[in-house]
Amino acid sequence: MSRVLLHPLVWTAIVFAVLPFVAGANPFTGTGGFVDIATQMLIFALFASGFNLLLGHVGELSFGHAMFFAIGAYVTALDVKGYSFDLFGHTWTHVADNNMLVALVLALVAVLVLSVLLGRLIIPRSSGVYYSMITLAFAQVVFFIAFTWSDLTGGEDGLQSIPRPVMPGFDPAFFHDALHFYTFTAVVVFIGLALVYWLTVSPFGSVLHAIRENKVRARFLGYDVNKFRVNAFVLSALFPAVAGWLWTYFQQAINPDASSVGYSGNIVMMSMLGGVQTFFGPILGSIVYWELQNNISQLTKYWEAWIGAVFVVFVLLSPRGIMGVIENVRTRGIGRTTR
Amino acid sequence: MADVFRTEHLTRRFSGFTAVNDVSLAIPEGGVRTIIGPNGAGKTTFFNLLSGALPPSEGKIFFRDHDVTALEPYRRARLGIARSFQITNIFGKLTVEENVRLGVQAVLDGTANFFFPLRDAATIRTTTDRILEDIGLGNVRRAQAENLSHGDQRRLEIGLVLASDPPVLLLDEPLAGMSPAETHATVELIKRISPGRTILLVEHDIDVIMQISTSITVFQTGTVLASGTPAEIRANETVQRAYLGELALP
Amino acid sequence: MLALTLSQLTDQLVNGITLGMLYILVALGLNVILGLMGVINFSHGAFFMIGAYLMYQFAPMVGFWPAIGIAALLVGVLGMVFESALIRPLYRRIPEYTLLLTFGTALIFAQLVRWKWGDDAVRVATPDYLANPITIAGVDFPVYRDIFLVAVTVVVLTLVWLLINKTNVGIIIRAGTRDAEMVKILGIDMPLMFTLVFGIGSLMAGLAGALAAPIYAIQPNLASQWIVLTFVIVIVGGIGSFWGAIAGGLLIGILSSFMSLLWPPAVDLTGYVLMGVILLIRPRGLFGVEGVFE
Repeated sequence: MSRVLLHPLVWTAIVFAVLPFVAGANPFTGTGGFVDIATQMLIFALFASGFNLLLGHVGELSFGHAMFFAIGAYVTALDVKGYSFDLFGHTWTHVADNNMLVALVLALVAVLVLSVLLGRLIIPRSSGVYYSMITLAFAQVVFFIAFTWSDLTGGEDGLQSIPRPVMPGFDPAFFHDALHFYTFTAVVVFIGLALVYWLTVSPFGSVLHAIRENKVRARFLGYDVNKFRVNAFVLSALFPAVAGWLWTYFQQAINPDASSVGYSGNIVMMSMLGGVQTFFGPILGSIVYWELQNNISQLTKYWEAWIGAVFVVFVLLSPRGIMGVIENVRTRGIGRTTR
Repeated sequence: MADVFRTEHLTRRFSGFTAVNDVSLAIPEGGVRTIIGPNGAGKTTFFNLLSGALPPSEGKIFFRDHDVTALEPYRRARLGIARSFQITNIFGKLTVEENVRLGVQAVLDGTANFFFPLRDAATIRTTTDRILEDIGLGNVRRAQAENLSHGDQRRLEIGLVLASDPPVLLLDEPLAGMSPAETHATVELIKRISPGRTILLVEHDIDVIMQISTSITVFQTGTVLASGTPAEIRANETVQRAYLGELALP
Repeated sequence: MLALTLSQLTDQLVNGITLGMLYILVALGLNVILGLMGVINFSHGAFFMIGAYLMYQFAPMVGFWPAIGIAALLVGVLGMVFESALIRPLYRRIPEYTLLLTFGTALIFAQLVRWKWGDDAVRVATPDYLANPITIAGVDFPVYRDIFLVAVTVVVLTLVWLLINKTNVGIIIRAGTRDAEMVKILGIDMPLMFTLVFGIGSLMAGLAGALAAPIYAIQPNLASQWIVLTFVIVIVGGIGSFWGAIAGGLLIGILSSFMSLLWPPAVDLTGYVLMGVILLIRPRGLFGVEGVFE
């Protein structure tokens, strides 16, 4: 509950400015400052922060949020690269068109529609771990479609050779430079995070917190709890969509893994590692996750086990994540976290 | 004026046990009506039915001639039926101020709005302040609700039902666990807010009941035994016979 | 599509039933734990996978039948150790924590399996005397898949049903979940009971994995594939429900089988579509009741 000295968004901006110079730092070899790793950290910081609207602020654990990321990414890829496939006896074609704003709007619309439909189906009918199971299952449907409908999605291999975004007045190759693309990402992500922050401190946000604390009481005060849950679900899906849009442009490729159990789980891990009850938690979680992944994967190909182990330790001993540890040290000196 | 509540053959069963049995009751608008009865008489179940926490097994409930039987709790709250809980049911990790503000916001917000029109923002602030003063928690407004003393938490509980300025309050044992001083303060609060509202109260403290009630309804094994002014109930032989040894009416 | 013969249909029906048997075993294992203890084990799929790998490891060493038993028992023991070390500390927290922790351990198990047995798929051979089909009424039934699997599953189901309904174990666990203090006063060692139940549920997953080994390609992805599938079966059948696991498993098994005749690419989608339908018309599942194991 302690307040940070500077406004969280100022902190965030400072971190974003410094990150490309320290990301991927390896304490043993002394190398560091891989811009691409920093870009990845930011994209997932946005993804995790949007997801965390649900986990940290409403208190609901969606285990399928990768599907919104994946749809944002695939829609972007298909719009930019173009597609041609046959369905219901008709050939559907779209000519390649690298207009990043159009792609973004399409990605958001697609995710908006899906999240509204899914939200209205799932939310009034489930909560708790049941809800987690169902969201996981639906993400698998998206994975399955991406994997199987090769004519449209490229199947297991996905889509490749997607160009970087182009901005009028800039050289088309401008964003092929890692640092330029990082700056682009940082601006977009910062705006997204500012929106997340604003949502959490708004009256809407406080209703979400009320629902998290005491759903029953919120109902008896007069709140249509399910409607708020659905709205929060939809909002929490839009940020991963933007992250997916960035991801496609960043990787210049996309494949079904984006909707896998792994990706959904990674987001959960990042949020929890950082600390779900704070604004900065998911951002920190993303940075720490990718830092760990980068370093450990150079040592062993079984790095996922080590990250899993770190996560297990946090669940057992420090469920409020790294931010929770920081708060404890600040408020009462070195000591155990309480639940 | 229409009755604030009217029930028709209201019944609620729980696998083999009938908690509320064919209750047809009219509760007129205004005043403080206390519902008394031994444990298991069906008082809290009756409250749950009125507030929408439980659906009836049979029967109907009318709120000011409006059939609310099928209405969910949040809709009843927006119609003006506010309910407090026997076991303190506040938002523990939020501040006292946030707790009250949420109660104030609830009926102002339309449906799931993100912002409230600027004029409402000021109203929300002043109403929140007023209620904090009314319940005497103004000086702890920034404290986390779960860190308050038990008595303070009970007062916050009442603050939550007051926040939406409801015409009807259902208070389920509001004095539970309070010290004599806290009881006195809460009783004064109830008296202060009752003009222009209808208050239904479940309580066990006879002195308090006699002090503040304008009418009393006696429940026993799911049915209404008697209804009337405190004096009438005191003189009622059926009630005396039922409660001799259980509630010693002075 | 109209050229389906009766023999094809019966083939798929039998196919579906036997497939369903495996689904039932895994789903029931999860439901036993979920229904009696309110605990959800994301590593349940990993236990299935480990059962299959242990079968691969031991069958050449001790023979087909003993290997099944060993694999199942080892996974059961693993479950008990797992529960007492990692799950027990979380009982006082909301169930989401167990889901999270067991997700983390599922990652660890998958990597352990990779480390020990590599990335490539491995297979277990069915012994010769089980591989040949038996012909009944002109229809071929592969002995292992159709007869042996079904028989073993039915035996296990009966045992579990007896355990839950005819012994004290079910009553005690259910009582203990609701009122741990009271049960302790009665002198019952609740932690031990919980560990045993978790072991039984895990054993069922391991057994299913061992039984599935001759049929499926064994590779590290099995864990995540089967955990999602298990969730879908449990959602369709009803959380914590004995008959729900059976109904869900059979339904999905049979429908998937038929789907392979109608539109093969969509076979894996069948379960999800069914889940969507169930959510729309009966959200708690076919046999689901809040928090009670029936």
